[in-house]
Amino acid sequence: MSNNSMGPQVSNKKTIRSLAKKMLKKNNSKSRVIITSIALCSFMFAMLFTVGINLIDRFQESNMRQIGSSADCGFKYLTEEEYDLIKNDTKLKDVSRSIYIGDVVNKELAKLRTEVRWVDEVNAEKSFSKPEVGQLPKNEDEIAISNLVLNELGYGADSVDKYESLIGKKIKLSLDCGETDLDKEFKVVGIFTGDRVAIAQSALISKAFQEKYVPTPTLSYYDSETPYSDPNGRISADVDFKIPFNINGQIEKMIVRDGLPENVEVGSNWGSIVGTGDMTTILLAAFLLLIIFASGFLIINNVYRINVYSDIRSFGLLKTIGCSSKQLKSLVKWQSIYLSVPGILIGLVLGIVVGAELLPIVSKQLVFAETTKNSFSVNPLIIIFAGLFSYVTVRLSVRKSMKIVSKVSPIEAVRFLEGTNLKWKTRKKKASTISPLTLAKRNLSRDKKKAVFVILSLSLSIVIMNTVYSLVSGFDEDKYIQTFVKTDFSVADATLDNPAIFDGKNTEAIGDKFIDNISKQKGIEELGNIYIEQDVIQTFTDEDFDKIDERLLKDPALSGDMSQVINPETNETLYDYYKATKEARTQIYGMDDFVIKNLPVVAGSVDLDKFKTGKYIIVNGCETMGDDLLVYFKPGEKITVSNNDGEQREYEVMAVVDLSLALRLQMFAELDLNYILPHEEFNDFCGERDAMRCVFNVDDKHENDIEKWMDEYTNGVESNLKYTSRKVYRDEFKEFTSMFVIVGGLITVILALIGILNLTNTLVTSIMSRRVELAMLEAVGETKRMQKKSICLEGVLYSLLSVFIGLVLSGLFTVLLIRPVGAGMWFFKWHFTLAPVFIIMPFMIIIAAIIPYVIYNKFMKASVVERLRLTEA
Amino acid sequence: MEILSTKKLVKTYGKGANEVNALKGVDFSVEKGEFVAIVGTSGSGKSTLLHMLGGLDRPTSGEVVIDGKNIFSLKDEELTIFRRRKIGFIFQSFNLVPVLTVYENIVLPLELDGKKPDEEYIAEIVETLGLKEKLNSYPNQLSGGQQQRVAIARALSSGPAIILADEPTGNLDSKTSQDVLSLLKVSSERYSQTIIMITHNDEIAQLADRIIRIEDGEIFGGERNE
Repeated sequence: MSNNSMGPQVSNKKTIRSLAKKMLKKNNSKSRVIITSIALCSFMFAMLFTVGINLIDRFQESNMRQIGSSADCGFKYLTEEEYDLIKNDTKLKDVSRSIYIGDVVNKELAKLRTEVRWVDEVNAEKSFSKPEVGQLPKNEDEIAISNLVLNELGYGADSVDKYESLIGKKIKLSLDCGETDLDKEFKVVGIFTGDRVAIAQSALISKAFQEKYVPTPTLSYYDSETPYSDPNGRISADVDFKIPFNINGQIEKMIVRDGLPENVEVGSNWGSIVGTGDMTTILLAAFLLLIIFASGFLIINNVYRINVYSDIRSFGLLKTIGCSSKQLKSLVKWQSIYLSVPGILIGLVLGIVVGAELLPIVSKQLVFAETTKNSFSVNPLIIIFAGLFSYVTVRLSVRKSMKIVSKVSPIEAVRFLEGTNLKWKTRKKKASTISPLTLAKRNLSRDKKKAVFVILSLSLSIVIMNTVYSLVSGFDEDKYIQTFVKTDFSVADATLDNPAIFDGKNTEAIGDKFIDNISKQKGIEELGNIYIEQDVIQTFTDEDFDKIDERLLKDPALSGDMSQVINPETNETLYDYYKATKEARTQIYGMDDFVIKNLPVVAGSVDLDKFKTGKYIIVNGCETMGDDLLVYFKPGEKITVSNNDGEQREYEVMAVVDLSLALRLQMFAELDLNYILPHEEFNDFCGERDAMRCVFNVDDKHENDIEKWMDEYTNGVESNLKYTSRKVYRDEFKEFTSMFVIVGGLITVILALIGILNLTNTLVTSIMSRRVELAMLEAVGETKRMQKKSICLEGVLYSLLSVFIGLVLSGLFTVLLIRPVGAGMWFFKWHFTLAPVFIIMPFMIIIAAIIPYVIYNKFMKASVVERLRLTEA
Repeated sequence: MEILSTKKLVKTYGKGANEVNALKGVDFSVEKGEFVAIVGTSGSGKSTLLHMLGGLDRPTSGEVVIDGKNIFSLKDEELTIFRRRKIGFIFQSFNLVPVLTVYENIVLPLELDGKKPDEEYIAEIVETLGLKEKLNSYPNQLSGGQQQRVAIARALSSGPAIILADEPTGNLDSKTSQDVLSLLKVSSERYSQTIIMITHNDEIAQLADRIIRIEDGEIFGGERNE
């Protein structure tokens, strides 16, 4: 930029810029190629950022809705005094307050945990409970409430337009407020949309109500001398930091700064990705950015070098008339800036549009809260980042060209011929016959660097395609489906398999009504139910406990947890706890024959008739973080089992099975102990009840009919039920894999476009700069047909080399990248494949042969004489 | 024996006000083994004439007959093939193929025709032109004079009916020019080649058997040098 070389303060910026513009205008078609390549690059960036940033947004919001707060962290169980310490901290961005009053314990709400709280205005916003219709309560008898709660109470509030009519309705609630229980009637003054994935629904009452019935205690919860009290009435302070980064570190500093109790309980928001920063996600994003950056660099760099080469005479001319190297550099720089503006703009618009289209496909695969907004937003960050990345790519790519131009010598430039500036070594080999192939080979190696760029950019798309293919083809549909459905169909209450619901799963939803109805359907081959006695505390006999101690607690797969999990109240480890109490939570299942037959046996064997005598029991293999199942009771051993009434029976272990998610209650336990009894014995021991789950097989002919029937039944007759089937999971699997196919395919196509654009450009320049030479060859008798053949061969050579490099890199990628990535996915089966490369090969070769053919025809229209004259020009 | 003749050769570029008559009905003929110089000032139409003789460009009207064949009755591809068999070209700017070695450049017209080079004959040409040491070098490793000698060797290699030289010494200094020209003359005599050479330099033209002057697209003279 500086004009030092021209002496002090010569104002020539304007001249250079207008010259840059004029040179571009003269070469309109070349400019278009460059703009296209810049647009492609910025298109990829914009698309990635659109999808990426929107996904992060949604992911965060969804997580926050599950937690019920969007604040960075929350300090729990505070007194007014302690809250004031935080409120007066000026270094925080936002502090808001909520007070937990208690739970609603109406019968109708047994399945929907509902918390009663008072919140201030800011907190209402932060906790997704700002009334969409109406307002926050002010008087003692007023309430603002989640629409889901109203629904459950029998008021139809499933859409926002119905909220208005429900304002003013009186509802009766029974509240469990710790020490006090209240039955009150409230007037609904506000309604907001609740979220099923949230841990609890909210009912907001007024400050007046809180102060009257559940006043905030004055003694600190954290003072060791305070006797234990319920959390009801205590304040939660939700805090936002100015920079939501390293949240845990900031919390620690804050505790010291504000003089809060050292043992204060704080929940930091795990929904915030930025704050917690998951390394794999960041690495993956960085890898994608790098690929795009590399391919962008490859094309813009190449296109630009070509551009400069073809303009080199003009540059040389400028130098002869006194243009300095610096000015030439600045000329090239300004050209690149003028070309970047339209290129980046076009790319941004297209990228954002395509990204927006792609977003639903990608986000469908991730679990989001149902109320997470589905609209996408053009975050200014997208434009800034994508624009900036593209611009930096352009500027970096142009650097080499600037160097070439600044070094050009006027004389050389005027007689510039591609390849002539290279130092050729005298050939040692005896001259070979000159076939079109020899000429093609020699031409390819004229500018080795350029050839490498083109080949790399072509092979990049091959590599990505192969990588995506080996990833997608590695997904094992059977393994995936087997995990979720052991049978053709499985029916249970909707809450049962919902991972977002922890408490209040309905485990007795399959009654006679369903069994009667399904039994009437044609095509049912076999059917069985699963019953459950939930959370039975087993007090083990010494003998039984020794086995568990030896085989489970001391196993390396579990011993870590056992010694590290510490109860803060008693300071004892989990292991100490088990050792002391000899107690553990178990699930007891009752199963029909059909289900038992479907259990994968790990040890022993199941004799159904013997099993049904009631003297035997089946136990599960205990799941650990590793792949292996731990066997804690072996077949043939006698164990004592308690039911929830404390009654004990002795059974002999018949077999150990792998109890898959498809059949069991999905839950987390430190010790995963499950007992299985035959249905009759289960009824006898634990009592009769409705089934948790019903599974059945259907003959192939009727599979579609039953699918349709189940869909209608679970949406109409018993809408609390949800069914899954092989088909449901097959569809889900397809959707999941199609995400990879679409995203990977798109990247492949873009990279292929870039590669082809690169090849075209290279061949265009190659042919342009050789026009004289080609004319001369024609003059000495090389026919046009021979020339075409030679040039097409050159293209084919490029494609063959690209395929070869692509093969090698693809091979490395599948082994070094896909295999370890796949190892982390339980339904992935790695296998080595290069099939896509071989499939794409003929197409590549054909395209690479056609492009030069077309170019040749286009540029060789001028007569030999005209082209020969170029030398003297 | 007449090896080349033109009949009412006319070439007009452009139309209307822009019309330029490069050749206005040129008639002349060349005997086998003759060394003819065509002399004219810049813009006189001498290059246009040479291009017509070599079949690089088609005339507006008229004929060029080489070895009894009206070359413009041939299609483009046929013409190219005819050229590589019957005509050798020497250009002012040498026009060697940069990716080929000296030897490969020399035998290129033969190779293009799918013929095996007659090694003995090639060796003789190479010897005559003093290129023996440079056979495996690339054109950009040679001096201008050397490059032009390679071009001459290339023109001779296929044993053409006629050699057309377009200002062959235009890019060379006077000493080198003399060397190249005498080599051209020597080899034409040795292989009884017909040579038509374009030049604007009278002194160089004096080396030829006959000088044809061209001015404003018309030819004059044609007297033999003795």
